[in-house]
Amino acid sequence: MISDEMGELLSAYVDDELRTSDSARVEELAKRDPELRRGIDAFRQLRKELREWDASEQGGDPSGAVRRKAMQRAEAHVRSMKRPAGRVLAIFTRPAAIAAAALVAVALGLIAAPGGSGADVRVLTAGGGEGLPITAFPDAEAWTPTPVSSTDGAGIGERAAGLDRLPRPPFVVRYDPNMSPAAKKLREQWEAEMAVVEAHKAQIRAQGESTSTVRRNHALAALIMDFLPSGSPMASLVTLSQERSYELGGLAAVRPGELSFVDNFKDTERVLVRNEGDRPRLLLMGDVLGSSDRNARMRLVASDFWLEPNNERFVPVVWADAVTPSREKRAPLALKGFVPGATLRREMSGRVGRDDEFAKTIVRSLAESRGSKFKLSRALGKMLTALDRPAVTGFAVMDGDKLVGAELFGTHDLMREFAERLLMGYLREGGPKLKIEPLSPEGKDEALATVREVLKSLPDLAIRTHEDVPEGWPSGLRAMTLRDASSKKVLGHGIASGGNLIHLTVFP
Amino acid sequence: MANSAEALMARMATGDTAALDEFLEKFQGAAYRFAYRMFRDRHIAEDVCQEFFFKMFRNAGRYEPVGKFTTYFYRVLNNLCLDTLRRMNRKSMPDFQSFENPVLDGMADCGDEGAPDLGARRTEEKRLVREAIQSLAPNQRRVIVLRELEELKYREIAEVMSVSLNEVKVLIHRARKNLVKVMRRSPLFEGRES
Repeated sequence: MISDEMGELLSAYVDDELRTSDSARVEELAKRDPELRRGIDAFRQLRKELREWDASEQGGDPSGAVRRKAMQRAEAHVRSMKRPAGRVLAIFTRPAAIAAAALVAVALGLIAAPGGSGADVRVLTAGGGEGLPITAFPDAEAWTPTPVSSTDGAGIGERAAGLDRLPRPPFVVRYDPNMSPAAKKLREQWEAEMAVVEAHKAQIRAQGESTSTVRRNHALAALIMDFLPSGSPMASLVTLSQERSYELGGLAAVRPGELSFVDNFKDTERVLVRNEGDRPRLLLMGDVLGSSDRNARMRLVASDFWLEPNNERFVPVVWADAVTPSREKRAPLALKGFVPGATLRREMSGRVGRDDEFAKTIVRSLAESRGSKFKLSRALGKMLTALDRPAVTGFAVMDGDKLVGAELFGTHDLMREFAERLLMGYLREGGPKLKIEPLSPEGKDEALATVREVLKSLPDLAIRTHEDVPEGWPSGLRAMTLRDASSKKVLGHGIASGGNLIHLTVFP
Repeated sequence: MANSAEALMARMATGDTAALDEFLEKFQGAAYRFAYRMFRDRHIAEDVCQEFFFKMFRNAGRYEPVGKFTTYFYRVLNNLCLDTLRRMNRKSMPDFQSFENPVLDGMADCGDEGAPDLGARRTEEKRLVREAIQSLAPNQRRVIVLRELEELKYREIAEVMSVSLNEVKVLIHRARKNLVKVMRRSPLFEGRES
């Protein structure tokens, strides 16, 4: 039996990755030990098999589609960079889309109004404001990861050369090497619990069996993996394993005013999040926080929240349990994904004490075939392409002539950051037949011109800006809720800083 | 290669689509091969490739010519493949049936009409190798593709996958061990050690 250590040495030998002295040592050992010789031969034979197989399965020359599509997209991109401002958007040719644009434009007008009257509810008028530009957070324009000179954080371990050029994970939980004896005990207890769970999983795998819990956990993991923010700097955290996420952290669940672990996450209304990145970060309502990809316990960010660089805040969360866990776990949290479906997100804003019902809805939303996922993935690609134009800062999602929802952001880059998971949420709910219409500040004036018409059908629409922001919110940050004043139905929500929009969702 | 690639990147950063055309000419084959090796599906490989080349064009301005261009090239491509894999929900799903391609298998063996047994055997061998590879964890699969098929050095793989050199070493060994184990279960591969 060749040990793993020796196996790694043999493997590196086969790859010619050993120093000359080590290679000589391996050759010497192999001469004396036939088992080592066989190990080397097996690895070489494996390489031969793989390359033969690869050669026989090569797809040959790609069709001209790659070149053609890449060139088309690049040329469209170049054209869009040169396109002058002030173009009238095609969106306003459809009645439902006009309504969406009007809602968005009116909301913009209201939130951009200077100051705050203190009277929370305002009935809509066609009055406009100054528009979109975010000036309070100039960093928001540069929304891409930036190189850092070094990385830190306990437990990261050996780093490859060049890794220090990668962005630092934006959310890192304080990992205190001098943790209290009580915290240490909790950690040991948690690790022991996880060892039991792992042993159980191994047993299941060994028996080749599957239990309903395992299947459901797979489904939950599928949900999480499906909604990872692609290309987002946040993705670096999600790829951490469970244990490493414990060491490196993610988020710490605490009750307000306490900095200790809590036994029951269900009662936790806030989660302490620390942004150790050098850029401000936005958490969207519906972002999923979980303790591991197999752990059923999830917290969902309850409303859009803005985090300043190098600062920590209590983020409001709601609790959902997609499956029945075997036991309570005290694990720290990490960003795990995004809750699927626009309707689900809308329900979040109004739900209280309906965890079970909400959880069932999440599980139901997973019931789709692999084929449909592939179709959704393709539809998503097309939608993202349509959002490439730099002037576009949002989009309306259409099902035929019916408006499903609209999302508007402060900047194009911010929109690009979040568009993928938002769109995937809409697609999962509405299917690949959905279309999108890009939204842009260029069309604001035209949208405002249609407001009076739209208001005829929406006479009671009101926007409430929460002047009495919860304790702990960043200064100047305002949550927004769009609500039908008569039926009290929530029509949208968002976040603004002063008069500047950060994100707005509209569900007409 | 590095110099000309860097020059092309610099030109693409200015919005020069002719540079993209040259870039495609130069790297299309390599990118397609890599994507195909990862997914074994022509359509997905094509989608990944066109997305890759568009991203390279759009983000050319951000490229900093530090280190080998091939490392940067594979890192971007590898990340794109990883994103696609995530979107397709494969990481946590135990089966990989959608990646089997019986049509391609049949086409590949058209030349064996005179030797049906040999053709059937090859088809079966290919299926087994594919299954063995697809039974690997995603990071082990990527490391095997990068090492055995793309023939990258350990240090390059570490940079592409953003992991330590030691992790590369361990991953490669584990992947090989698992592959050997799976393939040896089949009588077709018994006694094949040279």
